[in-house]
Amino acid sequence: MLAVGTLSGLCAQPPEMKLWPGTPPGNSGTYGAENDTTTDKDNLIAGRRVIRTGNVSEPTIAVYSPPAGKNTGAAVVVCPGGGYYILAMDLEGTEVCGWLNSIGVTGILLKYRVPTATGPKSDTFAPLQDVERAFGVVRSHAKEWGIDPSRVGVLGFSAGGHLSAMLCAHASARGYPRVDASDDLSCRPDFQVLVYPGGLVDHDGAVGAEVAVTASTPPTFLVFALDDPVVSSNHAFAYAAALKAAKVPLEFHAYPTGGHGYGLRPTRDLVTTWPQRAADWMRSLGVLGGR
Amino acid sequence: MFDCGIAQAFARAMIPSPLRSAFALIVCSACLHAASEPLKLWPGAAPGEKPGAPKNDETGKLSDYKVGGRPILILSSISDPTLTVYRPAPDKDSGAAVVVFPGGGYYILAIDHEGTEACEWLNSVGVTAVLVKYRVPRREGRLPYAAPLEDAQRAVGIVRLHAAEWGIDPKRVGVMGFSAGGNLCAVLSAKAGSRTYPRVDAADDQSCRPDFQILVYPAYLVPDNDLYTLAPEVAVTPKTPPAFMVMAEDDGIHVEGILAYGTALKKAGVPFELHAYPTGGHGFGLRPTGNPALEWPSRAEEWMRYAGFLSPRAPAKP
Repeated sequence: MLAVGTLSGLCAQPPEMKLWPGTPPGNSGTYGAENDTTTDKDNLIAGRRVIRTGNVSEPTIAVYSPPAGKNTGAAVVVCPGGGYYILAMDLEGTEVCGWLNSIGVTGILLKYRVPTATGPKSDTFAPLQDVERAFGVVRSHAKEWGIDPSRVGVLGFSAGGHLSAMLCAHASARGYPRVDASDDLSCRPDFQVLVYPGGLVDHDGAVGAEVAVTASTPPTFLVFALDDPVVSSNHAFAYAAALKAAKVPLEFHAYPTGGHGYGLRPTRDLVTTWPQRAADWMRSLGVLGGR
Repeated sequence: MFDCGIAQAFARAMIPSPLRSAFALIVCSACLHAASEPLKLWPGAAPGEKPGAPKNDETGKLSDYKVGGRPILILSSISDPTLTVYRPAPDKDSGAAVVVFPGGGYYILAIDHEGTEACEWLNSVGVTAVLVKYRVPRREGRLPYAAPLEDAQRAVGIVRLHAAEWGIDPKRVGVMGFSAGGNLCAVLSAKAGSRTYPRVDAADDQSCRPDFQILVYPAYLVPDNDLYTLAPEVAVTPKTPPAFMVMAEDDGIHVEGILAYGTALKKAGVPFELHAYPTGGHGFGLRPTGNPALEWPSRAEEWMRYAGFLSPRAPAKP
């Protein structure tokens, strides 16, 4: 196979796999064809363009496996951000899978439905259905994909962080009618990584009901830059306090600068060292094997 | 230059166990560059001290409590507070200084793992360390931090007064405190506008506001019965110095303290960095144990460097 060198070190783009055998449940809305909405006028991140995939009506996952000799058995479902309008598919997707592979973790890149036809507080929120379905599908393929089904985490950026937290709050039951055997498997993540998550608190400053924290919320890693112009730090602080109150193990890093939407492209801002913190955290949790 | 690791290995190999730690401590003090003689903070008695106060506990006692597999050294009583200057190697010297306040609940001072060992680390990153032995235990009839605050205000003034002599940039004088010492740093930052004691000499004309503060599992930032409200004595304003905070979530002293302090700093527009780790408990100091929280010195160094506090001094004019 011809190796295509990329900045993220990925050798090849794995095929996308449809999440739903037929039409996805709920309301996908009616939009144009899936496309990259980025234009020349859009801002660059660390000097480079970002893919902003819009009009996703056919949700998929793509499985990025680490080199066989490096595989720890852990897997992470990656939820890119984009305000539930678009998905930052490279910055907060493929590049993250490349990093996960480098530490021996299988990256499962989730392309969930955007833009959304309903708000996240509705009963049938399409992105939540997609990520719930994705967890069952991943666990049902665990053996085939070289994954330990008890070490499957979720990692989300911005709106994808909100989606991760939503999944943790809704993991006890699916928000759609059963499709097949994969929906009988747990969709509770074993750990969650939230990178500049948005939408965690309501206008009153309290953690939103759709991302409510309980004692069964999985161990959480949270990273945030305090000069984030998009999401107030209240979101991260309120969520951290709620986790502490629920006695959920938390690691929280707040850095002075970095803004929003940096992904894991290194800049002068210390917050962009977060992947090292996250890898250390996963190691100490034992999810990377060999404590 | 003496290597601490070798000294400790030697101590382990050669010395009967009850004496080992004490020996390692003595040898390790050789790792610190050019520690000054301790300097009395107050020319006479410290404010409010009565004649006949107990003498300073100069030797301390190794505690049964171990951190990083070694007992910690405890000073039980300080009535005549001092500071000691530890200089970095000249080729490393950034010109920055950090005044160090060990913890101990305002009852005792954990003088090695939250004192001399912090100074050693600061020296290794090119920072002059100034170790303060502030007054303990708590003074009857006074707030727990009242006498230590006088000592802290006095110490920072003395450091700035001696800046030229000690090779320090008076605009890069930070503070660092552990537990009660972290509380003391935050109290000092809140009450740096004026001295809480009558002027003694020119040191008290210098600003006692730290240029930055490093709070390591700071205590008492929030009351036990209201974990989300900052204690009034650590109130934050836009003039509060930039802060670095680290704490473990399973710390009985409440991680909410740094969350509340962080929230207040953010509201006031003061830059800070915060790291909360799931485990580590209280009082871990800087001794590596394999716990991820013990990476905090690297984070603190990065932060000081990033914020410009460790920029090399301008070359001297010929």
